[in-house]
Amino acid sequence: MGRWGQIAGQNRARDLVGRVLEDPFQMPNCTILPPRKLAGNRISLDLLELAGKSPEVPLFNLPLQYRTVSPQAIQKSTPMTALDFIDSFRGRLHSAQIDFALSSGQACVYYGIQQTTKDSDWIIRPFTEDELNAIMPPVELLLP
Amino acid sequence: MAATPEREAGDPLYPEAYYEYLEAAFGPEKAAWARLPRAQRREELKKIHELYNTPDDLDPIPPELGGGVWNP
Repeated sequence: MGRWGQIAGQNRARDLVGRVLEDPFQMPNCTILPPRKLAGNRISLDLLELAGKSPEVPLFNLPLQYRTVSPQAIQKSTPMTALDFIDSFRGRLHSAQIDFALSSGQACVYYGIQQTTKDSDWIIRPFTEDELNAIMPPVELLLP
Repeated sequence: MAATPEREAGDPLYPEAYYEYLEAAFGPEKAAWARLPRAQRREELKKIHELYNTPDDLDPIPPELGGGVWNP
């Protein structure tokens, strides 16, 4: 197990994110989408779990991969609502024939229960990681 | 009262028991919201999302990573 795998196994998730932000170190098998600067010096992170040679292995005991997007790319990206992002990403997953499930708050939105949530949680089979990575770069530029 | 838009294909009305459960659990306003056609909900949600931050938006670490303003 590499350095990050050891660190990940010893820390709470939010502590791990702090360490990742300080040191963008390459970690295979799990993708953390880039921190996005928001108004008022706030930072947002999206974590997309791709880990899992075995689903029984806890995510944060596995090595991770850190992705970055340049501030210039974020500035060039087109503003998009959370719902537009879901449509766009869903279309890309369909086109790439990647099985997925949309869960949590946005699933509640779909069924008319939730109103305010903006983030989305996606469940994707671990063995479709390569296909997912192939469509990720353009998606990163479309982050809301 | 404005006319309710037609429901699109793939946007069914669910069994009445579903809406009755929502009303019992969350109140009549939530149940009425769930009855709206999805396209109408979506348009109103866009305005809500543009105008308001959600509780999750207010914390630099989202709840799925152990954060959230209600999970300090």
